[in-house]
Amino acid sequence: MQPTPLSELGVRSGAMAPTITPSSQAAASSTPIGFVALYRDRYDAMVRLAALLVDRTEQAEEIVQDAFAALYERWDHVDVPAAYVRTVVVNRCRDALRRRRVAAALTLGRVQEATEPTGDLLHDALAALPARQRSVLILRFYEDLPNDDVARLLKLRPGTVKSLVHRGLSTLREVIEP
Amino acid sequence: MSVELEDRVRAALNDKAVEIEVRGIDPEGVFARVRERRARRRTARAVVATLAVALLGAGVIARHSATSVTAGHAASPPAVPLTDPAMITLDAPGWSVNYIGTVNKDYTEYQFTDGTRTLQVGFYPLASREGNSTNPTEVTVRGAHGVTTDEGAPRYRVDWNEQGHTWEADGEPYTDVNEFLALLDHVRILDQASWEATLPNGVAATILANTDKGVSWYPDKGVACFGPQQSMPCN
Repeated sequence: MQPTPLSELGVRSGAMAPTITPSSQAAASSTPIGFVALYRDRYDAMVRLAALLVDRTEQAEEIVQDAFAALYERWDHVDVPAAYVRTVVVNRCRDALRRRRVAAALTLGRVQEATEPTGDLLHDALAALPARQRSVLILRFYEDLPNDDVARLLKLRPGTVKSLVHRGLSTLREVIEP
Repeated sequence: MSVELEDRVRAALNDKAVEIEVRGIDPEGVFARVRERRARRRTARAVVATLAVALLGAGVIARHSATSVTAGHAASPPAVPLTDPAMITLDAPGWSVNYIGTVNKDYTEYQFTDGTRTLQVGFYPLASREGNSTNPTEVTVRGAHGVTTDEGAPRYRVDWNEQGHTWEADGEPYTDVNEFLALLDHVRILDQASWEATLPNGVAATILANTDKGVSWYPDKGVACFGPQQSMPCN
């Protein structure tokens, strides 16, 4: 979880209005320098974050590609591209979870998709947490974000984040220390 | 809560993240998406332009300028009280509702479409979404102060407060933010009788009877209910 500092990537230094042509070579040649560097540096971490949030690697990759496409189009207007991508990734994961919940209600009429048990109590308990509690714990303890940042990303009040962290940890404690 | 448990959670999440098999990076895939988004925007512009020409030809805009999509987005909405759950419709040519979800008493969501574009309107407790915008821009929406969230054109999202709720609108593809905001002028708050009349028989009653469970309605699939943890049929 130690990405290359953006200053070392030269992010923003090549900022220019991006133009995409049908030719990939032409597209690459007109791409802002910092964009590809940022993409190479952050793609893997963003997919892992999204996969933890939505629990599906393929969907996570889709979300991350889409987030970088959004960044590419806004390159000239974004001050901190890495933070922007993370925000878009989390927003889209949140949307995906909400829609998945609704779709499950409509198509299955029963239960959400269960994650395959791993046999590890803590892993399984984490996977079984309600999506919002799990998302908060992932951002708090995997991304190491302070509560205020988690609140901004998930569009929650800071107090709600604290409460969700507490409830999530309490549930996990009950499972691993019965 | 002990630091030890937090450390164990941190380690478990890192272990799981390490196990995720990430395929090779694909910058060309990003560029392809950008091209696709730009093509969609061009299509949306063409559709809007065609519709505008057709409407002008028919003289519709002249006769109904008060309800035109281009009427602007600074007008105050009519004062029909917003109920719980929120009861609204999108009163614009070619648009229809394709989803209603009342997740719980604090959150209701509508989705509308005209076949090309989508508009999702959600209702949250007042001020529950403050300070969460990315690259926020202040705008006027439905006569109120609103804040847009940068989702990357042609997708647009805006939050504003109206009638004791925070409203969130989110949709794509739109040619620009003005087209998106202007459409929101056509969201009309309904009284219960008018709202029920917009839905097939029995749907409104089922929605209202199950808001404590969470309930959703799609025109082609009917009504379903879901709890906070598990989905369940309404009855």
